[in-house]
Amino acid sequence: MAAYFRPTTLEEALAVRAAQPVTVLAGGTDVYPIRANKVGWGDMHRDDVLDISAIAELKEIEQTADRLRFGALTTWSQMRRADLPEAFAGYQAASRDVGGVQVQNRGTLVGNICTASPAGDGIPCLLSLDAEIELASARGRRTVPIQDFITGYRQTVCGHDELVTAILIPRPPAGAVGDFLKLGARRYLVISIAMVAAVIAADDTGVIHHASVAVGACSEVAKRLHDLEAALLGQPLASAPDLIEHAHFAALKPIGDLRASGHYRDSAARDLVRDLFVRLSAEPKRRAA
Amino acid sequence: MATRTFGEPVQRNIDDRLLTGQGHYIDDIDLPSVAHAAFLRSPFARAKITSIDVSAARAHPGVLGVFTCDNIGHIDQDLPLLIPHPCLVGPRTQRPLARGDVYYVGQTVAMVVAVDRYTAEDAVRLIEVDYDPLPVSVELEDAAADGANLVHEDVAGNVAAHFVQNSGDAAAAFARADHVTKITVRVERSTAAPMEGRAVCARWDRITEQLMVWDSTQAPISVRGGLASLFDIDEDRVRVVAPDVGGGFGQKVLFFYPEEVLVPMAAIQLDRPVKWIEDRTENFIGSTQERTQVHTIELAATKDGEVLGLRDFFLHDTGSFIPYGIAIAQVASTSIAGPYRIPNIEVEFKAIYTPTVPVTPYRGCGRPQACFAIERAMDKLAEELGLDRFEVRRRNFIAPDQFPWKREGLLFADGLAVCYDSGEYDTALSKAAEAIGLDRLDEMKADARARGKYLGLGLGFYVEGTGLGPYEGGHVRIHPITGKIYVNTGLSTQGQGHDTVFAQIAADQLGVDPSDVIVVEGDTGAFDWGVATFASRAAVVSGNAIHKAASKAREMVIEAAANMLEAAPGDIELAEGKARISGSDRAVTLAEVATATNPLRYAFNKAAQSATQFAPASKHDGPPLADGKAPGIEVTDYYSPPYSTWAYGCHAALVEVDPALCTVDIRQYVCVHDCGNMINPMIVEGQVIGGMAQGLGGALYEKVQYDQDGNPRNAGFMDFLMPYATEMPKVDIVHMETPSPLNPLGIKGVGEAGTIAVPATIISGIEDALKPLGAGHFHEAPVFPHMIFEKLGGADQAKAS
Repeated sequence: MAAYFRPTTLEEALAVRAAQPVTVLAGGTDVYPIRANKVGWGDMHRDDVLDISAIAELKEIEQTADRLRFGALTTWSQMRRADLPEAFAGYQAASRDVGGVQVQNRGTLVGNICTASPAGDGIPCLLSLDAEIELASARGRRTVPIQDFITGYRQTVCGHDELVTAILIPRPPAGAVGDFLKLGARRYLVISIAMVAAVIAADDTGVIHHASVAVGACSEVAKRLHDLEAALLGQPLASAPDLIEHAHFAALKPIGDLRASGHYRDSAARDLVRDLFVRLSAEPKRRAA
Repeated sequence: MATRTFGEPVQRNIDDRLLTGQGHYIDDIDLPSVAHAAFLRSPFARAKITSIDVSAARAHPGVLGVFTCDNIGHIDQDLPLLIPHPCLVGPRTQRPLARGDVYYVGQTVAMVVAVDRYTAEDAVRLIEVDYDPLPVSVELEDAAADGANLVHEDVAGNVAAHFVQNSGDAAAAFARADHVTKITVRVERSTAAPMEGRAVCARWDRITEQLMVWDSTQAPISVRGGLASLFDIDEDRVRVVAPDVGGGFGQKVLFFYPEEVLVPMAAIQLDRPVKWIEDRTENFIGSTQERTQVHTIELAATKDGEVLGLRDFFLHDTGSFIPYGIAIAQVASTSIAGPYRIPNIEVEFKAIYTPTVPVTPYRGCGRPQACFAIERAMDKLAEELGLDRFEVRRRNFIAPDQFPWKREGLLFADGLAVCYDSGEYDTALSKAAEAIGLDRLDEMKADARARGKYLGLGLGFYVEGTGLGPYEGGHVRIHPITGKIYVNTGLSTQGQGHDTVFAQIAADQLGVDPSDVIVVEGDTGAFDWGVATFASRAAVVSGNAIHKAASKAREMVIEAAANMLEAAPGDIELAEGKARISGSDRAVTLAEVATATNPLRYAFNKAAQSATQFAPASKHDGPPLADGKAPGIEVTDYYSPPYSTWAYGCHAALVEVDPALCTVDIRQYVCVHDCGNMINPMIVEGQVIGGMAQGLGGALYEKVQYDQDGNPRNAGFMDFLMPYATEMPKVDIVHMETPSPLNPLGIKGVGEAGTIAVPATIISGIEDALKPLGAGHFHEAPVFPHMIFEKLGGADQAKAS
């Protein structure tokens, strides 16, 4: 018989976490389907469960002058509805594309990064926003940049005694706008073939002074395209779609699987980035819906 | 008739109930002390079972029974081959529980019955089975190749069936043709994925020795016959009910699935009700699928595009067993010439075993593959001869005055020669061209180019043999107390709205509102002659049987009412639930007529007084019930079609392709269809649109995938992608109504009409769109974006860079 813990404070949760191996449960939108699939194929093994959904202190979104803090229980729906700077428009768009409304109401931003699927829709958004991940354990707290948090296919640096407590995002530069595009074999309720997120800021003359671009589902871990970002700096925003070069995508290593071939993914990633730049340059002041 | 509802979009009687959650599906049947079954299924595509140890499962608390092939008695036998055919050279059907061998991932190996499903599933995992896996050839072409690994050791070449049919003289036609077009097309496997999976609940009553089975089936009467035979008890002591059923689409017409015999067996053995509800994974690995065929089709034509002859050879993937015989391949091979005259046809197929889920009909049943083959071939012919795609079709259509059009030598699924009954094919094509805006096509293509997209015209014409025999019955009775009309028929509904159209048919004859007609289907206790719901046949076969019965009931009402009202029968009209003398207010209700025609001893209510022996109206010579008469207004009649009716239609689409992302956007979709006279156009549209959604799945989204070891790769809704509302284009439906001369109502079936032509239509649209880019031909269905990418040379470019 598996144990089930549902503490109401972080301190208690960390004590449980340190005491035994547990599956951490928040919204359950990954944990339950994976479990159901295992049972469907005959694997009846049950891990002990640490349900963190009753810990009130993990539910907050806080905005301060220099950063935004999303508690570990922030759901996609909360993200979608929150009043956030323009640079978050991409992350908010992604929050509409993750599963359906039921999944968005339960699924959490932090769950998405802890699952660390290459196809996690939130991950390129967080890369584009220079996010940091806050972890806690009985030993104390630490923060890790998102690009260091996920280390491989479904692997993170989160220790066996640690819980992710929040996503920290520095306040984006003035005038920064964000966007996100996802390609799936169907419009909704589909695992991404590729997705791209970008945050770009231009000055009053339209010259780019900040650019971060990330691509997901085209490598083991979603990647920032630093060469492309460098090529954009100092250039007119309107020219962004034309500045894309094949070599900018060298970091990607798309695989072929049952959703798409590697070559198609590779090509689609470039086209998605181009489409994204067209959108960003056409409507720099677009508001998140 | 003042109250005629035939042809009206009458609201569906069942909707209030179903849409407010009041439907009762099998899982809603909650019998006291019901036990629950769970199954151990093979994890290997092909293996020898070397041992099974159930001791731990038996000892598990709450387990009531653990069954393997060794303790299921005489039902440890091959399940029936439902439709035998001489061309089945190696027919094989599965056993309820595997004995010695397993043939696909998902095959039932053992059953546990326990106090609840959780306990049953836990105990299933305690069963130890040792398997010795065998090598497999999974892909259809590999399984058909020389030296392939055999699914059944004693079936050479994996050939389950091999059949050649000839109509006319194809060889002579090819010898004199100016031009031959030859293409190979491939259609992939899909699955029906009904919202409700399969389900069975059984109760054995040892006092009355009656077996009650609730089964989410399309064939309750046939299931009853089969169960009675299997358990060797009178049919009258088996009652099978298909209550509300959440979709079937052909998947639920097969019987027996192993669970359908094992659950009743367990109920009898354990003397306790037993229930099993299929879960979604089980539906992907334990319920039948359909579609994989590879056709090589040749058209022999004159230089003017008249097709003189057709040759088609195809491989049909039947999965690991062939319980439904050659039905799918036979329908494909007899539909292959579509709406075209093509007087000389040679069609040959081999049904091939693969170590996968068995194949039986899924909505469309061979027709989407045949339509894809002939329609893509007609496009290629037009291209090669430099003719317009519409024109080449026009030159070959069977003309309205050429019906009935018989294809002597091609035997349809009813065992009779193919014979198209009626149609206006040329008109349908013209209507499709008009509705899609063919005259503005160049303009629309230019507009797409301006947006960086490529637009093409998709076109697909289909014919559909519907309304197969042998027969169905209809029972009509007027209730003496309420005056409501009771209608029973033997086949069953899976949500199509049968009850509404059957009610309309009876209501029109008896002058009542359709909501006053109570239709009972799918209960062998209510009506126990008939076959099943499949092949778009319910409206045609049961509908006409009910019409015949209701017409006779009408005559009886008129005769009785004329007596009661002392009027001539010719002066009686039926309306608003009454029989009235035309032009007067003298009338009797149907309840009164039904009462008066039933001679009574006791006056239990006011109406009954008039039917007693001493009532004035009863004065007549002879006994109260005249010789040869039955009491009340009650008629049973049957309809047996002389041969199938042939519905048809033309789909057209504007399909836009993004040349960079290789995504497909359907800008407009037109469906011109003709199912003869429409009983209820709203229900017809529902059938067409629902069918279209499943056709769209086969065109762009759905493919059941297996790896090289025969493991399913996408046995779930996460990776088996059916189209959702967001993928469905708005469909412009154009109705045509060419009556069928074969039945009193002049109707043809419509259940599969929406599905058949969609892959041919959309994929021809993709091909047309990408012609300017030299993408070549698209002869596979479905088409995924990465396939477009490869056709556009993307993969080569990527490799080069």
